[in-house]
Amino acid sequence: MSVFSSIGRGMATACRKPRVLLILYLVNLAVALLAAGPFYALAKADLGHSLLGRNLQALDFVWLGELVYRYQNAAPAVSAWLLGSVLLYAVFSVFLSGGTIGRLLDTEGRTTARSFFSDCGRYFGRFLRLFLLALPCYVLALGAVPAALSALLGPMVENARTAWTPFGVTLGGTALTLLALSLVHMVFDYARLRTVTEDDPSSLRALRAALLFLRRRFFRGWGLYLFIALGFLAGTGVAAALAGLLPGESLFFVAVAVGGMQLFILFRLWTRMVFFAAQADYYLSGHP
Amino acid sequence: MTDRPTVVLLLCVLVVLLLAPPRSAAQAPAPAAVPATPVLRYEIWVDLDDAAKMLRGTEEIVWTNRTREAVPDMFFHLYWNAFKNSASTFFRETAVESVFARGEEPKDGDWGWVDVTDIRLADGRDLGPTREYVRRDTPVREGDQTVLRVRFPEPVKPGDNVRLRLEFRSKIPRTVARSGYYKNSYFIGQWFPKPGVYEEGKGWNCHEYHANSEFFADFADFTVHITVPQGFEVGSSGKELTRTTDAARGTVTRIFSQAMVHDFAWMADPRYLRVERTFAGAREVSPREYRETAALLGLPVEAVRLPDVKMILLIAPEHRGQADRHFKALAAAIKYYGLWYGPYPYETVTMVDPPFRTESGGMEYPTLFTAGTGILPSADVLSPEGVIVHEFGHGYWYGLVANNEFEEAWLDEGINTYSTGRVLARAYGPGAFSLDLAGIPLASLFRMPRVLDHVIDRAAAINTVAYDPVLTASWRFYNSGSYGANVYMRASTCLNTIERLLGEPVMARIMRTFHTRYRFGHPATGDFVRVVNEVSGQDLTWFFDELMGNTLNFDYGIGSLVSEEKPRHSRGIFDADGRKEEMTGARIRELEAEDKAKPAGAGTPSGTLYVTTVTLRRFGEARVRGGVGVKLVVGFEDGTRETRLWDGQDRWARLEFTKPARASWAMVDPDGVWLVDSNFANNSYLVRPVRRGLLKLLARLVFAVQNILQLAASFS
Repeated sequence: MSVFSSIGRGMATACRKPRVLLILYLVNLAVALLAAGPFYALAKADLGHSLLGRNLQALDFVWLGELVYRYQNAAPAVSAWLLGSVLLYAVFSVFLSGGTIGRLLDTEGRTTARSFFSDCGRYFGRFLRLFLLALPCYVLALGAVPAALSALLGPMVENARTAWTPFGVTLGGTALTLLALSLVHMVFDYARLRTVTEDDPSSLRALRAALLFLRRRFFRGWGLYLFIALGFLAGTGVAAALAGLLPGESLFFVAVAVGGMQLFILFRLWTRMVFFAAQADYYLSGHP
Repeated sequence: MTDRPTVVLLLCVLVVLLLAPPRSAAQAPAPAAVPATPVLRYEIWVDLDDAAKMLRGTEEIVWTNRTREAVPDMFFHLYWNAFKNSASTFFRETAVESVFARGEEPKDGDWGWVDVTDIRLADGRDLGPTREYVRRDTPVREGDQTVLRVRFPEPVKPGDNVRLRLEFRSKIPRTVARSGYYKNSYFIGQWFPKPGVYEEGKGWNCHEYHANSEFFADFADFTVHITVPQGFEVGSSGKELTRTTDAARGTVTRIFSQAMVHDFAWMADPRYLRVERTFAGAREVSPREYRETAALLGLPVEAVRLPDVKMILLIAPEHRGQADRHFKALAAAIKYYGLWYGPYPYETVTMVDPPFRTESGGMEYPTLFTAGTGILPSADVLSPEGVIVHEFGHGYWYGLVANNEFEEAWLDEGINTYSTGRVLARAYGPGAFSLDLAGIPLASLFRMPRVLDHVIDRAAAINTVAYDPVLTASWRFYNSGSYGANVYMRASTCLNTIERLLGEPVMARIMRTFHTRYRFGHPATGDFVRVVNEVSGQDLTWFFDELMGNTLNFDYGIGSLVSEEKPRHSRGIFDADGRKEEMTGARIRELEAEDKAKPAGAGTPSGTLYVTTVTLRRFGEARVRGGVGVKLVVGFEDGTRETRLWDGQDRWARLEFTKPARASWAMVDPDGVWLVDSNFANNSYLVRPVRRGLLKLLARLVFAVQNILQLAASFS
């Protein structure tokens, strides 16, 4: 089974499930609106009748400077609100993953809100356990890789002759950390897929099975993951470049820009679906 | 509340003041030539011991007493003793620092120090026994050894000079505060025993080395013999005169000389590349630019013509590809500082890309400066350009106009930040914000917003006002953040405000006059204020007192804007023909119906009138004074505008306008004069709410949050 054919079939599967994408998008948008709401209210109170609001720039340092001045004591509350929203959404995403994978693997049935949320509820407990198992692995990847690199290459950096050495080490360290994160991510993706395909309530068994599966096909599995990740990065680059090409601030171009932003979010969510669908295809091809 | 005639009168006064030619400085003077005899003369011989990381030096000083007092002693700065131990004032202050470099001390073996091993008069009399370390700054730090005092056998009479010979040895620190070494790269600043500045009536001005402070010294003629191992490239203040190789010792001695500078720094590194180019005034400045500058300053064209300057770049091999960027920025700085403030008076300027890990990212010394860069600079971000322009600019503000940086740092940092912003805006336009990932520049890909310096300066300025006045001694600031934001950014914002208040031509003459008058001098804040008042013809002393000598927030704004139809009839009891007559609501409705029923022109009122009430507020504590006032413009739906001037003294004022149209907006400071105002959002009030701008903001905000959420989701 070719990695690329799995990616192709994964993309096709993700495209055939627009309702899953729609649900994920709506949830993302709703939580984002909720999180952004207080900040918008603040901006409206500040700028709702001000010429400054009419001429607001993309990253307006005139207003941002004022905002910091007036609300500097509110920084803890703002951080808590944002962090709370993010944590809430992270847990909510665990819940949504069940519906996403469940629907992607159900090639026959229609996706309805009922079937989607039914899968969400069905797998939530198992996915939550996997999430809790994944957390220390992520912490390890984020902490241990840089720490190991620092111990290994620290003397070299300490004695560097030019800035190229620390630059290279930082760049390499960042790349290695990202690769370590991708490994953790990939392993737990397969564990989730196995949980659904086998309908096995044991998270540890699912994790073990995922590791066994990847042990035999490690580089192909990782290659599949990295190809999709690279595709996402390329798409992000294209989106950033296209956003920069918008020529004006007229209503039309503002609408195009707003539409473009939301298309990018859809692209992000769709990529997440492609990850699941392509890895599912690859996993099932190994477990016919 | 201000009535209309008063407003008109105030407006007239303002217009007259702004348009009147400056009384005593209609023509900015041309800069003075280099004075022939400075207060000090130095000849220094220094050997760099690369293996031991030591300097061994001999210093001969001739100091002339230019005061009317007999001077019994001399104070020396021994700056490197700041890095001798943790008891120094420098490290005691660093230990309680709350923003940058908190508690950072050298590692074991990395300390630095300087010892004066011998000091005597030219006739051989030993001053060694009179040596004592003094601490006069408060709070007193007993362990500090950065100021040394020696007593003369007899006082130096007015007009006499004293000749001293010192032997010193120094342990070069592993870089601290932009001086020191990393491997065999050296940046050597504040390294030799340097006398303070003797001030008549006050004695020696010789402060300890403080964490948040730079320096102060007298102008001097320097000749410095620098001996380094063979193969080292050397960059130094001044002009290189000779180079002698001692093959037996494996050393090279270079002699540098420079007249009329107040400090001398150098660097040495075996890897460095040296590139030289010439700034040619005839090529860099067009005839039209000369004519325009001369007209702006009221000078003959010959007085603004720029001489050629040799530009020397010492650059690390890994940055060699950036040489063109360096020279372009330096040429722009030489051009605009020269045109605006006076020609650069020295033959050379040396630009040093500071050696790796010598941490001298941006620092000024006379005729030499450092300007750090990265290995992958972004094309859109003005770095290293910004630091090159700024540090060269210090050659004017600090180098030539040599204020006391210990006591009034804003005079060089603030004026130079203001000047840097103007040069960058003229030469490059707004620069993009930096964005990188693991050292890879992403500003171009993500098209980071471009802003002019004064926007950033203002953001810092309004946020620092509560901590300290700008006019604070450097070591007395709340922390290094307050020091930086005040003396650089708030001071620059205040100068930009003055420029907007007086107009660019008047400001240009102020700056030219100040520079010219105090070139090779040591001006204080009062001198600057006097020049501002003299050239502008206005007394702006209040501006400096209120906005730089205090911690008062400046914020004028619109409190409310209400437009209501003016009733043609009023309710209540009215005297009519000796009777009391009540105008009831019903009667008013009848009269209004009759008015409407009458044909046009048959004695009905010409149209509906509206009463617009604008409430102006002074939200901040700071007040405009000197008859300057705060301008208000109100725009009406029929396209007309009304302008008033409010004296701004009270906490609020309510102004009324009766017009045949409702108001659609009101705005204080419509010309954007008061850059120092902390709240531009309340400067205007639009009756129709803003929609598009806020929707754009909401869209961007939601998009940012959506991405953050999705990033979190990818882990779950």
